[in-house]
Amino acid sequence: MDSSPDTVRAPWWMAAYRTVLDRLAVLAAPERRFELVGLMTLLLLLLFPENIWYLKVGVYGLSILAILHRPLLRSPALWLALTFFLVAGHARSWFYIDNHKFLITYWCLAVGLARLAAEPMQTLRHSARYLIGLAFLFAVVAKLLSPDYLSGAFFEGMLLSDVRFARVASFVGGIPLQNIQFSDLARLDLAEIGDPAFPLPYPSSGRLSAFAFVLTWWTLFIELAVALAFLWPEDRGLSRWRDAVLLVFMITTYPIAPVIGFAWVLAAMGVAQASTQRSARWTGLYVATYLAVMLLAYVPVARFLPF
Amino acid sequence: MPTLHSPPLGPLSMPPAPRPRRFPRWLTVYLAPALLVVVACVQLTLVRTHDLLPWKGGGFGMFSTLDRPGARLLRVWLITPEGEALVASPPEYDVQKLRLIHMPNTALLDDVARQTARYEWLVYTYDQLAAMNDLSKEMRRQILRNAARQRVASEADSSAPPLPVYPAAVAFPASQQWMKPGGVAAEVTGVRVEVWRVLYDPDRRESRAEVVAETAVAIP
Repeated sequence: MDSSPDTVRAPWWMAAYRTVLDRLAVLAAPERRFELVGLMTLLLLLLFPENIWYLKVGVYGLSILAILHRPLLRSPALWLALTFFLVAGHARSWFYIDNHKFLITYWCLAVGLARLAAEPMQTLRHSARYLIGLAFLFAVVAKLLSPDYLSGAFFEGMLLSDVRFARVASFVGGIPLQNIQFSDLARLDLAEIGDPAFPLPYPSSGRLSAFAFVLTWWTLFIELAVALAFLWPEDRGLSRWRDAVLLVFMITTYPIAPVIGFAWVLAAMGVAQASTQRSARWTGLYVATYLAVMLLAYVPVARFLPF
Repeated sequence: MPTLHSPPLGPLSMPPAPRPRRFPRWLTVYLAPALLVVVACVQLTLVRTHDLLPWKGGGFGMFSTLDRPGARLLRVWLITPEGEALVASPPEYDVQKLRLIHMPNTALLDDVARQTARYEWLVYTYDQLAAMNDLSKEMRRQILRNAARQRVASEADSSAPPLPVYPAAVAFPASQQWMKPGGVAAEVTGVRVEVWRVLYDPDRRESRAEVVAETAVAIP
């Protein structure tokens, strides 16, 4: 059998994998990576703005201009102007907007400030690491300070009262789905003329309590791991694992709780700060997660579940 | 195939970067994270001092507690010489309802009470409410729930007096009189406003509610 190098070819999937990596390596180069991060951020701003007219006018106008005229992506004025409109809109609605809107605002500011630095991509990498690390650190602090988190009450109550988790609660807890749905209706009734002080039964079970316990400590563990990995001195110890840890968090969280805006801003920041070692691979994984979260949010997953 | 060493791909090709700028590192790297820290610390303080909803305000407290959007309720009661009546259809207040329940304070609740008193109300007894045809599904279920509670209590102790129903009286806007005949014009002497939060007691496996803020305003 002739086994000379000239005739031995890599399998098709290996060739495809290398091609993808080569293309990602181009995108992962500093200035190209900046464009990718900029476009990911602009898409996020275009698709998930807060419903305030002057915020939308400013964000839509600037984002569309930057997409049509790419050199604008590298202008600090663009990102600082976006930050201005976001602050103007979010300041009025700070008490009801989701937390990722705050993070998106800080991120746009960080991008604008990075363009004022001598080494924009290097500067942005540091800002992204600190923003991710600090956001997760405060998330951990909030859970530790919460009166109903560590006891498992939060997840047990959430699984039984949030319609998104009803099927999971029914399957894991061995609870008839109609019992959970009935309890959910009873809670909705409180919004009308129901008596808040009258205790409503939650159809929980031992299995569901145990599952809530596991979710409680897993979530605390993974968020603390992300916080530590991103705040650790770069390229030492835990920091070397930061991309893997963040991706594990995203993959295990957002298919269940699809907060797309949060997933997207994390993905954009993830690309910005991706480890210099194997940056192409991490960039590709962040982009893949960015796509997958959006698709999963709209795929009727429940139809394909066995429960 | 393009590799690391080949020229950039066409569609994303960019002109050379402009000349380097000199701004201090504390500004370019640390300002945004510092703002995150400041806002989050303010949020943590407001949660503990002003009953701000932990899921909001930039503290990253979502998925940390059941005190979340949807768990807080507003209850407005008219105080009349005949007793209290629950406002079943609160009007559009000149304050965002979300502002009211996400971080209630006495001044806001007092303002809501005074705005409520400016409207004309018709009060209906519980029996009149139960006989209405055009109730919402939620109101209908509450009536069924009252009936179920009374039946259970009666079966447990037939000699005991019937359990009070909730609410004992209901108020609808006078503008809805043509849809809901039979109501009595309310002589409002005061308005009580409450914000509740409904949590979960895992030991009893039932809901547990508590008042977050309340106020009562006398109407001259």
